[in-house]
Amino acid sequence: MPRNSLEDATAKALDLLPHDDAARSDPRLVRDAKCLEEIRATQETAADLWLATSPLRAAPPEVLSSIMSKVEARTPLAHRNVKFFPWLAASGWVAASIAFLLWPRDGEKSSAVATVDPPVYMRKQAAHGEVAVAPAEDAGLPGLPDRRAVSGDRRIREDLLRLQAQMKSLAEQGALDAPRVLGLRSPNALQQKPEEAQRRVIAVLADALGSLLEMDGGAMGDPASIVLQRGWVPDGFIPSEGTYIRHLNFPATAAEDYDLLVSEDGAYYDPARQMIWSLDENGRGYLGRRVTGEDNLNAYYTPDEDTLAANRAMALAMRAEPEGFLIEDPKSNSAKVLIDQVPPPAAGYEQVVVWTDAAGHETRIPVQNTSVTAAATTPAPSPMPLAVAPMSAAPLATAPTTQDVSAAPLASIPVLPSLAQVGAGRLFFSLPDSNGVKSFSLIELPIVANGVQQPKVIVSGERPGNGNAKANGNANGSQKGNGNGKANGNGNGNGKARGKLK
Amino acid sequence: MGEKAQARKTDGRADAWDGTWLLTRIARHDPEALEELYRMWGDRLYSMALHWINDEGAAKEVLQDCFLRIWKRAGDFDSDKSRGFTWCAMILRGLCLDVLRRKRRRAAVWEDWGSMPALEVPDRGGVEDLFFRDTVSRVRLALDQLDAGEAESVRVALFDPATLEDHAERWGVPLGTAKVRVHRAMEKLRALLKKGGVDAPQ
Repeated sequence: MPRNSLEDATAKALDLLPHDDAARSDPRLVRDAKCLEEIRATQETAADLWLATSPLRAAPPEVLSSIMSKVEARTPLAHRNVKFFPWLAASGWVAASIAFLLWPRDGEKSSAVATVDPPVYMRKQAAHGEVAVAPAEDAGLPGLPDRRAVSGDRRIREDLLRLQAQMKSLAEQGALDAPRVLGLRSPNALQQKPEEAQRRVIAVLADALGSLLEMDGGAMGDPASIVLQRGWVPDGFIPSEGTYIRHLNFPATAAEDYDLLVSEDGAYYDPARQMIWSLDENGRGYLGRRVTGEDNLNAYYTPDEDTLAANRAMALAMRAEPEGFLIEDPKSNSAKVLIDQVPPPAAGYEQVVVWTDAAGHETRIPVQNTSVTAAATTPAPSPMPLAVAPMSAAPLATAPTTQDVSAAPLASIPVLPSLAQVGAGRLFFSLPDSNGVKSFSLIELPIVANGVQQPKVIVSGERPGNGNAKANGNANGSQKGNGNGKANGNGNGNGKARGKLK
Repeated sequence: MGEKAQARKTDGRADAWDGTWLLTRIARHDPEALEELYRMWGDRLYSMALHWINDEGAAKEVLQDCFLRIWKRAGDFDSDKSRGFTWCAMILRGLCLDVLRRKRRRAAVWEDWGSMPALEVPDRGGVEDLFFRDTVSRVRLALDQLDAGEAESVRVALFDPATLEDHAERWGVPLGTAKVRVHRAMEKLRALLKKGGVDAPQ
């Protein structure tokens, strides 16, 4: 072994060799055992010396967050840990208590970004809060709202952290088992097995919380800085390297509509924008990013006609049925209701929540959805500032028609946006004095009572053993199904409504 | 694990330092392992980067790039050839060199020579862990055994982003002589560290 090989090895170990030094390509430096040992030992010495002479400083925590967000985004789906909300899986009682009151955003040109004030999550027997909604800020990129425009994300994050701690505390107390869950399904839905119903409760909750986090731009390690709720990336826009775009409603027909190539693992390649779209395993749509040198573009191909036809069928199938659940907490005598995929009411109709307690008392509460109808028929050119009714509602004395009910500004349930389906909404509200909910339904009634038309049931559910065999779950609606003698299907309100919305 | 790695384990240091188990998990794309590695070595790697490039923003970027590169290349790590920490530190070193060399190319006048980190072991106020303390102690003792010329060669080899060609020019010696000078200084330092920082009787 020539002596100079070891000297070259030392220099190579420390990256000191000049660029044109012949030793750079000397095969002995990578094959000879002594040279390899010299390199190893030199590097260990250098590392020890460098470490020992460096004043100790704490690594910035934000660097770890940044690293992990990038890593999660790059990790193949099969390798990722699914732990988006591990604390969510236990139960929904506290998780469901996040309330943010938004109207569904309308139209393809609407911005997806809302300025969200801190959510006030519902505490047992406490007044319930609200979250106001303001128009989205212009992100400077047509159609691509920048999540950084969201204000209050820090506060939302802090609230979520508190919520997490609260949930952990409840779990430790064993209080998570106390709530009783009543599944709410549409008349067209298939009967669910208990385990499936439980899974759906968690899924709907996760979606509700995920929706909140979508507003909390950049938080919780989400790598996406831009959120696209629907539509497509504007022409000419190519994201910079390291920028991630989340598409919450990635079109099933995107390959056909936008000339994308597909891969076997379900990813898409957009040659026009040099972008790769991959499914987010947490169910938050797709993540798009710029193509890098590491991507194997040969894995992408033009889908055949069968695939395109299947995609078209999937687009139709994705229009899911509404579903939800009611969680009742006997300890606090209150219940929380979450209903997702609520369609906008037909023109001239309005939606009403009807529930009956253990004593047979019926309560009806209108859903504040007239703007949804307008939005569905007349897309607004820009997001509207939305007046949100507080979730505290006065008791309804009478409600002869839903028109009358709607006139009571504090007695209606606002609609939140459902990110799962364009145009659909989500209801989330609390029944403070639930007194043992026996049956519950969300129905659609004509705004002007016509006296003959039966209501359309959107979702309903009832406790086993309820004497109302034909209660609100009847697909045809019912004017006689509550067993308490009070019609609930023709818009004539219940004079004994006692419920309060907080 | 090879004989050398096994031998290294027997010196009692490997237990505290060995990140092989984490790097193996990272090679399988386990994000939690990367997070653990950051918590284990992030402070040290950040301290090293900051000490050398003396720029907080750049040090953060380098630290991030280092862990992303670890994530990407963990499959290349071979515990027979290197300790886990050394492997990570050399990735960091390459990134720091890139930063400093870019800076040097941009600068009209290279002024960092004087601000190059000193070969001095700082007082850590007792916050280091046991193995760190052992390393610090051995390095301190070893540096005391180097003469001024050797210490300078080590300092230049370790912290000057220039190549040996530049050093040779500055020292007024041929490139081969500069290589020998650095090699001998590093060899002596290595030997001293191996002996716990105490030079053998002459």
